Amino acid sequence: MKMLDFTLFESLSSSVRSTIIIIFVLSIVFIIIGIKIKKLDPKKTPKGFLFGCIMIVEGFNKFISQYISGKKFRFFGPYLFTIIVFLGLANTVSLFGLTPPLANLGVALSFTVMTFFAIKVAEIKFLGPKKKILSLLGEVKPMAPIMLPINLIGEISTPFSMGLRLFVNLLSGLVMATMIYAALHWTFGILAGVLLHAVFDIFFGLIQAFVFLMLSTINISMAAEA
Amino acid sequence: MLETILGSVLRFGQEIGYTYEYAQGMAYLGAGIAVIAGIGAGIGQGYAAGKAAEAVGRQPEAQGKILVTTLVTQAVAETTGLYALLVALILIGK
Repeated sequence: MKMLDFTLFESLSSSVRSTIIIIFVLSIVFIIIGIKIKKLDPKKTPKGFLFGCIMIVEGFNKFISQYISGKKFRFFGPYLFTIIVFLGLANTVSLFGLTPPLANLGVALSFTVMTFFAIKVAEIKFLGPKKKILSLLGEVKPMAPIMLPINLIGEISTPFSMGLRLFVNLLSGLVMATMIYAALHWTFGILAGVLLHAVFDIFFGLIQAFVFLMLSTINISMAAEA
Repeated sequence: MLETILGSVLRFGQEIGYTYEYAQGMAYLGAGIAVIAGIGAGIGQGYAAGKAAEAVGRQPEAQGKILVTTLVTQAVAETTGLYALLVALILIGK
């Protein structure tokens, strides 16, 4: 019985631990905002923090509805907003001393799985299985035995490359920061850290989060139409 | 030139015998060779950035949309370089 040989309280890897911390913090913040929004008086102008939240959601809706619209936007908008908020926080979390979660292959590939199922749901809901199978077979029917395997590989490779892109970007930042911190004395390390984290965490991290959002939006809208 | 390098590497292996250290060194060499793929990603990203600058110069009012498109296309062009980096990291960690 080698299969049941495990320890119940094994210490988590640092990336998974920071993922759990981020999910915990985000859920608390979102629940508090949700309760406050429900109590809001629709006749008065919202103030302060809630006004900022409403502005962010409005801006996001305006931006995303350029790429997907109507029913598709109403169905996938919340998913896309959750993704950008989680990734935006997860990629900049090493400013608070935690390991970035996306530097773990497991966390990054779970984003692959999520994107895969999002695309599949879009296809089944807005395209229908019959049209999907016809598009897999290709336009020219006699070429179908050649085109089918290529198209099937394409179904998997798109989400896979999206997950790996996140993983390697965050991992390269982590490796470079670790290397420079190991090479320098801590006094220089503090000075170098300002530049390192500004470039690798804030700039690259936010750009990768944004790129993941854009690619999922475009892939979902393409899957729902073609 | 490549033949000379490969020939000397093979002769070195035959002289000292194929040990673990030899394999380790070859893995580091392979990691270095794999990252050459970064050239392609660099050329692709630079081309996209140059074209984006041209487009902004021609149509300054469409700057927002051009910026978004440029970021997405550059990230797609970067993918091959990232795969090379991943292969190199796997080879180093072997």
